[in-house]
Amino acid sequence: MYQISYEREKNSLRVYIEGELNYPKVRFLETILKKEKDISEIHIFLTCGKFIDTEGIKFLYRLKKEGIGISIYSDRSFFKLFDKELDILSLEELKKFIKKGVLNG
Amino acid sequence: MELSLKLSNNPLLIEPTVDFVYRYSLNAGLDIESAKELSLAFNEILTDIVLFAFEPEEKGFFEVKIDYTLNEVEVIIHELGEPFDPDRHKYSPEKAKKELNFDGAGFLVAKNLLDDFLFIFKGREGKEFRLVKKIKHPHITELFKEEEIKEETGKAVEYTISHITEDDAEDIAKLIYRAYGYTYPKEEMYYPEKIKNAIREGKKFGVIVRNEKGEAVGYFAVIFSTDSNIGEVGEVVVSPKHRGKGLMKMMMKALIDMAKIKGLLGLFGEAVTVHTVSQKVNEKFGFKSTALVLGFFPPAKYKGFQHKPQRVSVVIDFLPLSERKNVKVFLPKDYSRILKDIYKNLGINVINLRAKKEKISEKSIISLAVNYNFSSAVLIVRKFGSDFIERVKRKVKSLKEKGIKGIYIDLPLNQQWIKEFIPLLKKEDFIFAGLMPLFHREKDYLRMQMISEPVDFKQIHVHSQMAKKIKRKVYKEYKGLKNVSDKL
Repeated sequence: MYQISYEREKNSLRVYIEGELNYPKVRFLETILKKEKDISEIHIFLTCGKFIDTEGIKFLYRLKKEGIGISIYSDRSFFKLFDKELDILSLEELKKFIKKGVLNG
Repeated sequence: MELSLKLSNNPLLIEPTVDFVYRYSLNAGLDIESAKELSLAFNEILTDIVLFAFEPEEKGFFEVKIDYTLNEVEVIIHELGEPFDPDRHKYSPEKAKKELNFDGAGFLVAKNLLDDFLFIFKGREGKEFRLVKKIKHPHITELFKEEEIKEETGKAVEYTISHITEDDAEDIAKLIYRAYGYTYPKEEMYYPEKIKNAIREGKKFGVIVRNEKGEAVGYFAVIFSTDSNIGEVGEVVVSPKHRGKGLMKMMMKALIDMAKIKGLLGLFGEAVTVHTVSQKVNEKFGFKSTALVLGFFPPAKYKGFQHKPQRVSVVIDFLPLSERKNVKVFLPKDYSRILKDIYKNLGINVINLRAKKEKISEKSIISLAVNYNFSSAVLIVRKFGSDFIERVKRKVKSLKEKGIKGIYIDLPLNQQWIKEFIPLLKKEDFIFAGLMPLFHREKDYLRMQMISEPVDFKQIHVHSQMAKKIKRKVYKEYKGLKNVSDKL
């Protein structure tokens, strides 16, 4: 239904999302995490994504609280807006916690 | 080009609708970053509606309208879901971190990413969200050096006048800057790209005057009304060294001829009252004053005129281009005399219709046009209903909370209920403004206005006899306002 695929390697989950990380995709990811137990880190590859909305941020914060490491890969302009959002929401520690990888230079 | 979508509260629709808004915004002229910000803000409101505005199993519908002007893209979301008070859902970073309670986060992000955000609670009529993102283009001062723009053209003995094209955009912006500095109220005139777009999209037509060296020395344009077949003589500039040479006359004459050829029913001007120069020009060309609109745009300093800062009031001057000998309307008792005078001055005989015994509809239809740059809004009544006053009260409350300073209401004179509602609007502190001929859907409207700041009438200079008469009427009602009479 959504453009999401994933693969597991030991305790690491690699998730590929086309488009935004928003409410419908969060619901989908939650079902994946229910199925895949004992995940300690998640790598999220966002292609053609404009943003992560506040439902997505809430989801990421929950992962952080559960001690799951987070890496996000997307383009530079995506992170600009993401950082702006985290500043608006005063979530500096989430900004520091998430590892960022810039795709396409 | 306005677009309207009817959507159900199905989460699957969030993403394609957000994508649509993103693509539309790019086509309307937003840069990628701004389009992403608008899309995210829209996504937040949309998600809130889909998740919380309706009961879990309830199938609900809501409407999304999207439109753009030269300055901004506006998305309007209207829904009839459960009542909601944004003030009760304030985001708290502490609650988010401790309890994972992100209540109000979407609203906060949306507000911060938008240039303007308006929430209107309409009671039984639901809720309305207005999301605005401004279109960024380079300002004329970013494109040229100050000396280059300010370079004054020499005296000319010969002038040529021609219709404006997209290629004239830069020269027009330079002219505006040279003549007015930063004080010209229509900000888009400092951005060549916006002028170019307006000409390309047929939103205006006009003329440009050049001297024998080909330098632009005068510009005058008519902007098409989006709601009626009339136009506004809204943009004019003559280079300082070429004033008093009859350029204004030459341009106005050309514009009137062009407007007739294009089949416009009338032209109107919003002439400032800081001075009477524009009003005198309008009068010379047969325009007749029909209304005095108080505090229409924010305070501005006019070169060469002494005035204290207060919101700028305008006289509406109207030039009919089609003959109307008789007009049949419902004249409200309190304004019957002055409206008859205004019509007579326009060369129109007015016939006052009697109200019939009819049952009023339950629901009113009221459009809202907000000018965020001017901090003003006009409520346009399309149809009166028994809920009229309540609807107006709620809209006014939301607009005031948003800090909108100029609030006006246009009432159709061809609907009998206008007679009943005028006294009620007066109770809500609306006062007379005047007649807006053919202003909406080719029909005549009565405009009333609400004052948010004290007005110094000594600083409102009007020229024509009719404008003076209207000013006296407006002042009389202004003095009668409770909060004003206490201070006088």
